[in-house]
Amino acid sequence: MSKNQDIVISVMPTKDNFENGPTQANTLTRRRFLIALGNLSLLGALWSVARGSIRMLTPPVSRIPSPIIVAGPPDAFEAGRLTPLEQGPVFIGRDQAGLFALSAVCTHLGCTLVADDEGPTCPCHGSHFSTDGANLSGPAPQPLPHLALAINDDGLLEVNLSQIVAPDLRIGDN
Amino acid sequence: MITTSKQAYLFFSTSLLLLTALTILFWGQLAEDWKTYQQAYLFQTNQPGQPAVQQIIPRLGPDGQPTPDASPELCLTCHMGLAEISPSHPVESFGCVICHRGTGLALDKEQAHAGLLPNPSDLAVAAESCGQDNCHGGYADPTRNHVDQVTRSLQATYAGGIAMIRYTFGVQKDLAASFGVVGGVDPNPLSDTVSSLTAYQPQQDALPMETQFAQNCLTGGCHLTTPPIEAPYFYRSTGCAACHVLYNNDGLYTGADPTIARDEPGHAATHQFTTAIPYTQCNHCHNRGNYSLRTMTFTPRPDLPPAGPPLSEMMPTEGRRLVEYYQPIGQFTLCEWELDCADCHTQAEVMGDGHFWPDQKTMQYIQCRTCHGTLTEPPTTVEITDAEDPALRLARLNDHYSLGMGDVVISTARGEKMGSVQLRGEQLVQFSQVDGQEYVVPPVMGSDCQQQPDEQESRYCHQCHAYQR
Repeated sequence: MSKNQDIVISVMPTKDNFENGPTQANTLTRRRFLIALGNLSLLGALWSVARGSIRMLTPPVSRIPSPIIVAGPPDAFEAGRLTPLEQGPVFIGRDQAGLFALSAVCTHLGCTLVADDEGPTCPCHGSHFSTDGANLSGPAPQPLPHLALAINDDGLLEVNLSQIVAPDLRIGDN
Repeated sequence: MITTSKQAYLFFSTSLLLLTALTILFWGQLAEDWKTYQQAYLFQTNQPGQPAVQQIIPRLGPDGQPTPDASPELCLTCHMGLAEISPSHPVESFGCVICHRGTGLALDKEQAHAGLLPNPSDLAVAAESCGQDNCHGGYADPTRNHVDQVTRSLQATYAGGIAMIRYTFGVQKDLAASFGVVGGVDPNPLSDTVSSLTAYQPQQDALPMETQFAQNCLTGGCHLTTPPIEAPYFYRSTGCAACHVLYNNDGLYTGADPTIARDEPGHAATHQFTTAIPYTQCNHCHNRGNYSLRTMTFTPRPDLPPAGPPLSEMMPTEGRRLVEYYQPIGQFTLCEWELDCADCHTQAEVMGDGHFWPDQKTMQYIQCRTCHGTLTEPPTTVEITDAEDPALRLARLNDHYSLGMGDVVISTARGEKMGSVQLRGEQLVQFSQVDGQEYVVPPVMGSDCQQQPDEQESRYCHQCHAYQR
């Protein structure tokens, strides 16, 4: 065998090559073997690049939540008390003029407020607010913002956390 | 077109090289540190689930003000299980970067920790973290600027100790304090305080003892600005955390953060800040040994570990306190070892009041009569009538006693209210700030005490009330 001649590797012993010896058509030359491996490697590399590109489009972090919170049916909120929502830092209140949404984020350092009979209180630094959001005591420098409240097509209350409204704005049950 | 074996070799080698590089990258992604940490945490806590990036969007911006546009932080992806520093600093509001700096969006350790402040309360950096405006600094009311106050306190300056050493060796002619580990100017000094201190730095021609003193005593082991002695029982942090972050005697971490080695001493017990400071924390610095003026070195107490034998694990708390609390030569009364240090030594005494006090004796003012009164005068009490009273703030920070408007509490000689000593009916009751246990405070007035009106220091009380070990 000359130096440059390809090594001929016999593949599965078919009847033809068993009887007539290996032929060019059904043998795996060194060149073919390397090209096949190269193609395989290239495919693997392309797959890795594709996978990385797709992963880049879907980073494994949670997305910023929607500012819209569905609070529930209007009649679920009693008059005379602030009801905290589990879905986000908001109180829903009801007075004689109607329903309103009050931010439950303390204007001091952003802690989530808790509500008792006398109004929202900050568990972090003790700021106290009235039931309509006025800052009464503690380090909170500003009143709580009132948030936009609306009734959606399903008749449920929706709060928009990103929209601040006038503190005297109220909506009815319908 | 590949027509020769040489071209095939080249094609194969290039493709293989590319695949290898991408495989390394791929495996690198699979073996990211944060996934390893999370798997360790989930395994330790027996929780199901797969590793996932943990993102928080704090409510405070870099300026300490609430904002809807704060940058997301991924720190808890690795530090899953890390305890919240305190209820006053909820991570959902503060995040991590506002105190610790670093790069909140990075998942790679080196990138995430670039510019990190491992201990934001270290006095070298506290002004930028704990002491930034709107946090513990920048207020018109100086009592709320805690970092400024602590930096001027004796715990940080050691002014009296420096003056005493210099006087003892004839470097200065009297005991007047003029140097501190930390220097500065007080624009409104009191009659008993000094207006300024110069940062102490021995000159080149200083006496050998001054150099030794500066090297051995001021740069390690003592004072809020210096790291502790790296040995069991001495482990602590620096700055605010030196007192408010508790350390185990062995210096080992016992929290749930998988990134912190459990067998590497020198870590806080947990990542938590507290005002319920037990005497064991104070003892990481105090009562653990003596200083030799001849050699300017520290000698640990021989009756306590690490120099002495370890105390039995079976030893009851009371017995342990009796051994550990004071030096063997010290005298003390029942309440002085039943209570914890923080029960009597007030915030202004320990954390300072913004003035440069010249020495401990001048600064300390809590006496037995503060709570017990004298034969002729009951202790001074005052009603809480202001919703902004600092005593209410302190009570809210401590889970072990409560205080409200209308409560009557002890008022010290300097007008500081001790909210944990309250009038309940006809009795004064002390609530332990460490575990909430109640102690009735007996008044001197009406008792058989034979004290002299002008003998109110504790040494006079010890003559009759010293507790025998």
